[in-house]
Amino acid sequence: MGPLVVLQSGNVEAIIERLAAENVICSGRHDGLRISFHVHNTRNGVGTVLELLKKNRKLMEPGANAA
Amino acid sequence: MGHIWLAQQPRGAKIEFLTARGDDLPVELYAEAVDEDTSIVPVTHVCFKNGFRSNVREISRIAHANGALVLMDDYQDCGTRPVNVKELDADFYVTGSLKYLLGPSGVAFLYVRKELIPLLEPKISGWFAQRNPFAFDVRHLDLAPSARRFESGTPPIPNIYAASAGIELLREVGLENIAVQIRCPASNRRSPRPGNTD
Repeated sequence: MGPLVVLQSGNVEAIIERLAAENVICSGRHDGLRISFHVHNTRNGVGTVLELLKKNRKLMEPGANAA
Repeated sequence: MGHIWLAQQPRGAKIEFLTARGDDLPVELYAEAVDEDTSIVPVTHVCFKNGFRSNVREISRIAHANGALVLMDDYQDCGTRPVNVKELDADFYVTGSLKYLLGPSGVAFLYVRKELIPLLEPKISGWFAQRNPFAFDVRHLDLAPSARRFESGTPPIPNIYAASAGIELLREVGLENIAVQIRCPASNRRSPRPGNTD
């Protein structure tokens, strides 16, 4: 396992924007939302990301359009 | 990294890409592809697309058994845990300060196995590759005996200061500690994958 976790997303650009609006900075590669962890990240931070992903679940679904 | 190898085709290089099985690039695929005609096996330590970690040590064993060299690209992992190129038996190791070394673009690192250094002559060079850069002798190519022979012209000095700051911070925290800290969030809710013990 590497320090990065990639989640398949139907609308990578839109989900990156939504996360950035909440100060969660990620990047996209093809259809993958790439979340890279470093020493400053904590389990609480993971919880925050998961909550945001849950809130924006539609953007993670295949073929999602920006809502 | 693919672009670099593809660009060598006019010099006669034949490039073979391995095709991943789903999200995995198992060692068996290297064993099938590498033979005595293979010159070099470039390995991405951690894949930029999905985070897959390659078994570099085993790939090195396969490559060396066929007389091929191994280049390990550690850009997506360097700075997140200790790494030992000698244990992994890589001939070349490249990385840069941009990502997990918390630095800027413009600064990259190359390790070359010591025995290989005198056997290799760069085709792109510059005054920083010379035995004595300050000789300013443009009529003679007098390559440094160390890995400095693979450098080129004036390095991006401001970027090096910024890169040093990131590396110093990581060294202060300690790569062992960083590895533990990263494993914690990155593995928080991950289900184990068969055969992947790391």
